[in-house]
Amino acid sequence: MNWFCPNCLFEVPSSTVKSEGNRCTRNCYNCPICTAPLSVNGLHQEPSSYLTPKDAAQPSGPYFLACPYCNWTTLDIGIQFDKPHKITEQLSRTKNGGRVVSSPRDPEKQRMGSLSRDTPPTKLQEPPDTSPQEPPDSDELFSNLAAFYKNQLGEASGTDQLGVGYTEYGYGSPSNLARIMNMYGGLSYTALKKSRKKPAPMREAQDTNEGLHLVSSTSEAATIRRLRDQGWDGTTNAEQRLAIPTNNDARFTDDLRPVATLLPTKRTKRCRTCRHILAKLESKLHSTRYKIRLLALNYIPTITLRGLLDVPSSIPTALTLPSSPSTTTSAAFDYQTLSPTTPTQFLLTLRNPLFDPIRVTLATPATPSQRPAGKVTILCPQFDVGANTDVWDEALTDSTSGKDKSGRQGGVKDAGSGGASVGGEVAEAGKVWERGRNWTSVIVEVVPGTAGSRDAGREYSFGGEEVKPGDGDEEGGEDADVLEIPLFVRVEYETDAAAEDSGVVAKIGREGVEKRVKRELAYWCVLGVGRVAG
Amino acid sequence: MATPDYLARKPSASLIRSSISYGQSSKPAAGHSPSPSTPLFKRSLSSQFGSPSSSFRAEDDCFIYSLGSRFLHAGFMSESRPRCILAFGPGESRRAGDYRQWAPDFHTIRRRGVRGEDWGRAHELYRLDVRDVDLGLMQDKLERAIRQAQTEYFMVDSARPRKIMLAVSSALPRPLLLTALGTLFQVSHASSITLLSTSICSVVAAGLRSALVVDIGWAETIVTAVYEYREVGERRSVRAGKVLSLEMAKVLNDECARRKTQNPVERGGSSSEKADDEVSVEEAEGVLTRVGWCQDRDSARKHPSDTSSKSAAGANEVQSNRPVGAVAATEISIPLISIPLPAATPPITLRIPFNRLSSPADTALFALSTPLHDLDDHDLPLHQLVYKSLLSLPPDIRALCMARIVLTGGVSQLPGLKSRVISEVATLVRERGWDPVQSYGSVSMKLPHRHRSDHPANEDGDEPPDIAQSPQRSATLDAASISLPVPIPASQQPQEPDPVLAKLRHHSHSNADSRAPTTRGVETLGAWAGASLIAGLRVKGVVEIEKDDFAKNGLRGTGGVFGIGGVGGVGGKRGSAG
Ligand SMILES: [Zn+2]
Ligand SMILES: [Zn+2]
Ligand SMILES: [Zn+2]
Repeated sequence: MNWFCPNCLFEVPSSTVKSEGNRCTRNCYNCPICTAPLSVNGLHQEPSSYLTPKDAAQPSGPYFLACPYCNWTTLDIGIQFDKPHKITEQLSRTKNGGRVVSSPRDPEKQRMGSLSRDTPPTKLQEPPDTSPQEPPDSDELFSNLAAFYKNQLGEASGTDQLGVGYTEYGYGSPSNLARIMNMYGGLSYTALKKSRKKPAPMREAQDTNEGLHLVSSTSEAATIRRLRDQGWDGTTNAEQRLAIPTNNDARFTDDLRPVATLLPTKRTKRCRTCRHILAKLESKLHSTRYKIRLLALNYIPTITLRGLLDVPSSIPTALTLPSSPSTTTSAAFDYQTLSPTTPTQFLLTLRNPLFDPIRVTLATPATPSQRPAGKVTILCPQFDVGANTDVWDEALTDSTSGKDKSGRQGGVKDAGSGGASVGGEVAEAGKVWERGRNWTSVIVEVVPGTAGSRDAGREYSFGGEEVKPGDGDEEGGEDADVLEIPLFVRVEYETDAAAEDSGVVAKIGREGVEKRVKRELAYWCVLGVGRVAG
Repeated sequence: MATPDYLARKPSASLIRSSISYGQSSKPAAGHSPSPSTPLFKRSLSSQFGSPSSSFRAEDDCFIYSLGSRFLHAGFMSESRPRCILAFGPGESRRAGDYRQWAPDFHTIRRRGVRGEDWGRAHELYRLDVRDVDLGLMQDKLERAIRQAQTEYFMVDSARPRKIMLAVSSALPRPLLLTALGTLFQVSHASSITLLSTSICSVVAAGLRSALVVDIGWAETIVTAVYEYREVGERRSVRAGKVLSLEMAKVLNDECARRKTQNPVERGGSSSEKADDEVSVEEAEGVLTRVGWCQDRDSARKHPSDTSSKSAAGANEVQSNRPVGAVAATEISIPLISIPLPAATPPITLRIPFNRLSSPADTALFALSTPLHDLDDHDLPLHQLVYKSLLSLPPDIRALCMARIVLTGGVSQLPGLKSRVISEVATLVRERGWDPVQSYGSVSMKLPHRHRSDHPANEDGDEPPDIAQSPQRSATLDAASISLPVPIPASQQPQEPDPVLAKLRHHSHSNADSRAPTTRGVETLGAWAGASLIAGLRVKGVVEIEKDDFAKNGLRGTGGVFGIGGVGGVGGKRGSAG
């Protein structure tokens, strides 16, 4: 499986991802403020040439990353680069403000040096600039802690009088493990018993070099002062903080780091139950075609719901979704203000994607559980839908598809184009309203409930003080007046066993005889109707 | 013992043993098993503990999850930060095809909640009150989050079984834990899940062995006393993030209302919906996390920022001649913080005095305005909660914990909060000592006689405990020498020497710390980092749940006490209990 950078389109093999992480290690960075991709610019570059391709005239001097959208630059956080390439490497060596990161080895080396006096630290190039007012960041603390724990466990093992060298003695060795387990709450009885004799539990960390960091009121006061001075604009929001782990505890915009681009891949989707591959893209990076594409939409009828008075301008194609009525508002029918408690007739159309005719049975729950409770009556709950035959069949038998539209408009007045259905001015129970090549429409009568019937709700009381219930659930609150009707759809059809795509049923028809297999499909779905007025 | 000659008779067995054990360390175990099935037993033992590489390094990468009611932290072991932090917001529960969050005006529309829903419900994965929790919904939300973590951030290539460490609160209700475990097993193809307690993880991430972990989360603040990596005590309060953001919303609503009354020109006929136009959870939380802060103890007592009239007046007063180095922010001129609220109708930019932004913390977390006797046990202010937790601990553990107060949880990031809690607790300890009785009433006259007369260390401090005590008294509270002041005869005897404690003392390099307990706060890297450290050190957890076992037995097999990280530690390990 290959990963790629959506920014530079560089392909990254799985092994590299494992070793170097899930972000692009080239020069791909996003703006920590607005997430736009950053570009590398020279410090002594004409501002106008930001937008020109940078290989036209390679700028000189120190470089920095700049956001073309919001004008954020790494200069804002005091970082500039010597070279225009290997930005990641350079960035990892610089902290915000331009300070050089002390490599994680160094404190350890110092510790070792202080432990064994005879070997002084070889190079103490790291200046003691870890000034007391500068608290160590969590990465340093973590590595210090990790080193400390390792050291402690190693030290403890060293006190064991075993004839084994220090280096050979792994941390996973028996006595050591038993002790660790004992420390961490003990394990099996034997392990406990065994390690009871072992003295010297690991001690606690004692200073910053070992990962201990005390709460200091001065640094907190400094933060507050900074907060007061910088105000709202100097702080980061949750999205910015969560964009990349290094920004997780960046309180101020000065603490933000450029966000390395996350690597995506082309992912295969499998069925949840049978692990059958449902969708698979071509592995070539630049191709967007599918190798396997099994969509449920190709197997279940497409359902649309329209107001009966709303003259459809075209055959509805999209599956109606809860929020989509607003997008299909027409002048004739106002889906945004359905009048409550008034029976409204809708046209429910099912289009059959299969190449076999289907028999559909619809049902709705007797007592709808939705918030603006609507009463739903399907006038014709059982009907047939024709097969999805060649489009030309219809064109030849009926007319062109453009005429089909007008023909169906007329169909409201007299019989539908399919001929089998009986239409009329008044919708009749048990009758299909209209029928086409691979679609059938029936009438659904909906009596919307009142939207304002929200219960008053519990009062959230705290500290003896009454608090008004706040707005919590965004969906329910915002969409409290959206009328949706649950619908149970049952589809029956007969199909050729051999025509089935997968090999699951292929064996049935191996004699070459065209066997007809009866199939059944049943599921619940939800249709969005509109918003109830009031 | 029968073992040596048995081994002498069977060279093959001794060969096995010598090859697996490095030295004498595993001999006692062999000695304890005189049954004829010794070789077999030994072999199983060796496979468990023997080779350094077999059982603990086989699965090299181990996923670390840390689950709370608002966020899922997920990442790899031995890394300092989680690869991703995923929030359970309402944006995650939209239907497919609902693209409204990409609409340009999405952030300018305030989303109304359902009446009767609690504050922030849509942002929670679960509630501790499981009567109302839809476990199916929780499972779906969690599954989506885990899937996202795995596919987008972990980039695991195959369904290879892995180990998972899950850090959860040790008091997570069983149905929730079951759901979480089931989802993890189902989604991640984990071979086993090790449960860790968040408080233990926080202690590990602080570099300590014992601590008082104050986890200020969303729904509750949990104070857990941890002693030698074991949870020994726990107290809770509902004063946490939810209440805090509710208070912040109140402050913002007040400011909005005041602003509207001050300049009525600005409200464009929206007076009718004024009652409905309140700040949302997101807005309150945004303000809280960005510019919310917490006063220090002295200035909170001096300038209670509660009353809005006072802060409004304070906004105008200019007394900026103080040196900037002063800690108390209220002493210097109070700048106005501009807070844009684009979702209000009409969009406004509030200008709030800076010290007003610290009042929610005072009200919600420290309950300055509420007298103590009005508070229930479940909504104790933080410093009282910490103090009571310390009070309920045995003295030696108390002394350890007192100097190791670890504040963690999302709310603890509020600037100033950590030092405030610690200074409040220090003051409480100084004023009250370790006396569970706050007021002796009519018997207070007799107090000097019975109060710790058995302690030579405290005989200099004879003051009645209900008035302020001299500060050096807390300094004399020795870890070993205090006991509960209830005069039981046993306490008059000299304390029994505890060999474990003595050993700890001896080996502890930090003798000075445990001798003079001062109230001290220790920073932690958080539960996730702690779990990552634990995993990185190849420490095996107490509760490890195998997939097959879970599928068969659920949590039934995990022993009586569901002790994560070592409550009890007896029979906790899956293999031995099953
Ligand atoms: Zn790239
Ligand atoms: Zn930008
Ligand atoms: Zn399947």
